[in-house]
Amino acid sequence: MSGRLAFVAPRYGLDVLGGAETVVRQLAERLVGSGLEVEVLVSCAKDHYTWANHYPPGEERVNGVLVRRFPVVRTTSGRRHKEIGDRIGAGFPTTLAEQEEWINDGMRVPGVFHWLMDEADRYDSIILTPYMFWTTYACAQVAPSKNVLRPCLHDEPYARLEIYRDIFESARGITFNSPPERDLADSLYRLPASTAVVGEGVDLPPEHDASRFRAKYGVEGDFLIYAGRREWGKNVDVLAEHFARYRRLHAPDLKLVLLGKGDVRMPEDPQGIVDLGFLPEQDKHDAFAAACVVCQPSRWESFSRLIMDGWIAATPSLVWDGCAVTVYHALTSGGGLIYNDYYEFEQALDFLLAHPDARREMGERGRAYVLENYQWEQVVDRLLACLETWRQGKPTPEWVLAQGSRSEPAGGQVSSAARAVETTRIREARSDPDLEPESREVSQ
Amino acid sequence: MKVLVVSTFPPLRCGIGKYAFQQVKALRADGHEVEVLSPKPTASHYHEDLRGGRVRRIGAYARKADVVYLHFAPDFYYRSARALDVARTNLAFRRLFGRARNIAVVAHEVTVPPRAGWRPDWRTARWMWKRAPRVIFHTHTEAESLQAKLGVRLNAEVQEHGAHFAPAARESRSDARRILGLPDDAVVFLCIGFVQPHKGFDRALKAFASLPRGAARLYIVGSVRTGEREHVEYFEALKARAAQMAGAGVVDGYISDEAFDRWMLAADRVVLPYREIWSSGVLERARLMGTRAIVSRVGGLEEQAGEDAAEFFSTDAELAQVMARAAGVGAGSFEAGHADQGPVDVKAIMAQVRRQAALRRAAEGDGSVAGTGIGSRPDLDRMMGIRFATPVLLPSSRPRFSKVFTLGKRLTWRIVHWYMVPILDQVNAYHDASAKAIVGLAREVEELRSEAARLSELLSAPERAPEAAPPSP
Repeated sequence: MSGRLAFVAPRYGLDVLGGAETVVRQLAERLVGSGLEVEVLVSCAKDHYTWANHYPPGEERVNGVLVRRFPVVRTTSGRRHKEIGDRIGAGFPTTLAEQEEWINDGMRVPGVFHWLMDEADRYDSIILTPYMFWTTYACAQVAPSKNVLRPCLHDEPYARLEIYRDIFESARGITFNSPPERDLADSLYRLPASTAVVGEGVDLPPEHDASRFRAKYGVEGDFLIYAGRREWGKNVDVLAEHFARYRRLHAPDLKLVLLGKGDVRMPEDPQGIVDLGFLPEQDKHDAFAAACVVCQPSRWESFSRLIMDGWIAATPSLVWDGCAVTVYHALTSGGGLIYNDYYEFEQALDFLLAHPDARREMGERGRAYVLENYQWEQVVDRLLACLETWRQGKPTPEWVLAQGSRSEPAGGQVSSAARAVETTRIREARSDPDLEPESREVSQ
Repeated sequence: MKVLVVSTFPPLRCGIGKYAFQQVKALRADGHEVEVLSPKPTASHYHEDLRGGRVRRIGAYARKADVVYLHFAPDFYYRSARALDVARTNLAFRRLFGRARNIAVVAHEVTVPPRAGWRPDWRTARWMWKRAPRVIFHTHTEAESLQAKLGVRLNAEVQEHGAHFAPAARESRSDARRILGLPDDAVVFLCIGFVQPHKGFDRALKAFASLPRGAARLYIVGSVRTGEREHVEYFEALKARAAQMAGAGVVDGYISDEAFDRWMLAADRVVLPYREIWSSGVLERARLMGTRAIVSRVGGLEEQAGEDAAEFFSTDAELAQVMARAAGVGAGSFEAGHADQGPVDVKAIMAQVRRQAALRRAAEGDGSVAGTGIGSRPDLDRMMGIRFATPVLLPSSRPRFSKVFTLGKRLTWRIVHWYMVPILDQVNAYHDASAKAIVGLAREVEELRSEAARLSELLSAPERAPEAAPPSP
């Protein structure tokens, strides 16, 4: 495939942290390999808290991708951004004018807007991601007929703001990371005809070596693992509390290994919590292989690389019931259990820790699920097919729709205890008709 | 050529900002070096608060440009409508115009104070406009109107409003209707844009009510831009009224450029029942998309629309006649509202009138008449008023007493300001949040009252005659 494609993103770079940002970089690099001319239009910022201009403005090549950087501009105090943002976060209604004030009182990158104003015609498609940043909000208005939105949408108060409706409803097409993300968008906006679940690609490390991790970091015995940003909405503090209570009552030797960074409230008794911060990529994969269970307590995920990375290491996951996306993955793959409160957390963990065979089996199912759906080649093929057909004004190819909506669960037998836990969860919590078939299947 | 455009700009959603965006895009495409100075933070090159005396700041930017297009609307530059505020801003403009002779004012909307020689706002407005190097209007009517009101000759020129506009949707009418879910065979009237009382969408509803049922559809598409109580209440009243009217509908929400033009393509007539306006971006887009318009004779609309692309009206009765003609039906009885067709049945008409009145009463929240006893309109008004209460502010440091006292006050302010400002912000934030919560509660009460009124009305309605028994075998 040939043509010219632009990504518009808030941050980009080899040393930029963040799941969505990393995926954009990996995707852009792979699309260059497919014959497309790929450009990334991005701010000079590296840190999404300060938005300080870190990289010099101008052009550079990053792993073969042409990156055009434009400075972040802040001519306001940000006071209104915080005030209105607090109200939005608390669920108070806000007017369109207040929402505009909120988004324009934070970081702005007018240079990207100006570039597109002059050069949008050069691109066949413009991929804007994620939905809630100024870069997406503003640049979506320049050439809507070329826009392909990659929203990374979560069920959060910001998703309900009137200012974003236009971005979703006027895009040429929208690619989603998972069916629940698409369903959420469908419930909030009147989506264009061209949408597809493309997903994200997952890196396959050359190997996993659990003993190497244990030896290098001195972590012995059974442990749970969480990796990623620790901030509000990720529920890491709740996970830590559940873990501390479980450890105190049931497993005094159990550990919780935390990777990544962030500032969250830890329990009064933090014993057993091992904070390793950021690890090199291979060490991270080794850690997943060494762990008993990958814990994903987050409520706001559009894909969840964490559980995918765990599954690639054949480690089962334990996900919180409040996130439709991770629940979907767990139920569809058969590679994880779901909990709602401490008691379900306790029961699920009891089972997983006591049944290494079932754990292994669930991990293998998760791995098979990832290999079947989320290898980079598959993701890139789906995206390229969408970009090409949408550019021609044709509907999304059937095979992409079929792959993206995959709902059959992984096969194989699960032990009776696993079935019991899952069946209870399904009976109590599932009211989503789309998930009924696999619910029945799993509980057979 | 170096061009400076002074205007609101995307991503702010406002008509003038969109106009400026298309102008900038066109000028840049022609090879000009164009920069934008915006009075609010946007995607512009520069951002300055330009209200009041700060208008003079434009001068520093103007010196670096060959041409300056200054888009003029009172909201951008005037702090308030108070005579002294207006006069101060007018004088700042006068000074700016005297120094920067490369400025062309694009007059979108100009408010002229009442004509009275003693008023400082009126006198300074004349001085200001007299000194404007160049004023661009969209119609001759606007140009002549302003000059007549001010009693001065301006260096005026007329440029077509849509000179830089480009269509954002290109479907056929039937495709546009299919996408929007509109019936393919009905005559569709459209009122579109930000909803404000002066746009008179209620006039279109009233006129539509006089058409025979089933003759056409009327859609009001738009949203309220700010939380101004007057606008919100007006929109709610429109929705309530449309809900009672067969064939009328309200689509509440911001409309993207593409959706806007798609609605234009889908409509048979765009109705602009404005009570006041200078010129209209909606009308310009209707012209661009080739959709005929029904336009009130206000401001420069008649000239802007042109005879071939529109039909005009002055009164509500004329609007009803024009809409009836467009729908291909005879005009109904304008005053009779939705009276059923056929022989006149006074009882039936009265019953319908009472029913509709009860619903309107309920929608307006007048529980006393509806007999619900839940409360009265003034209570609600008081609650809604909380939202607009003045925030707590620190005392002014303007000199009122002796210099020593003022100096002391300023010094105290400097010392405590780091401590006081966050507290005040917090108080105001709580105040705002509480007000919003109470307003939300008030709305809930209003809805409950409305529901109670409906139920009460249903209960008090005469019992329906029993249906005829099926024929015996």
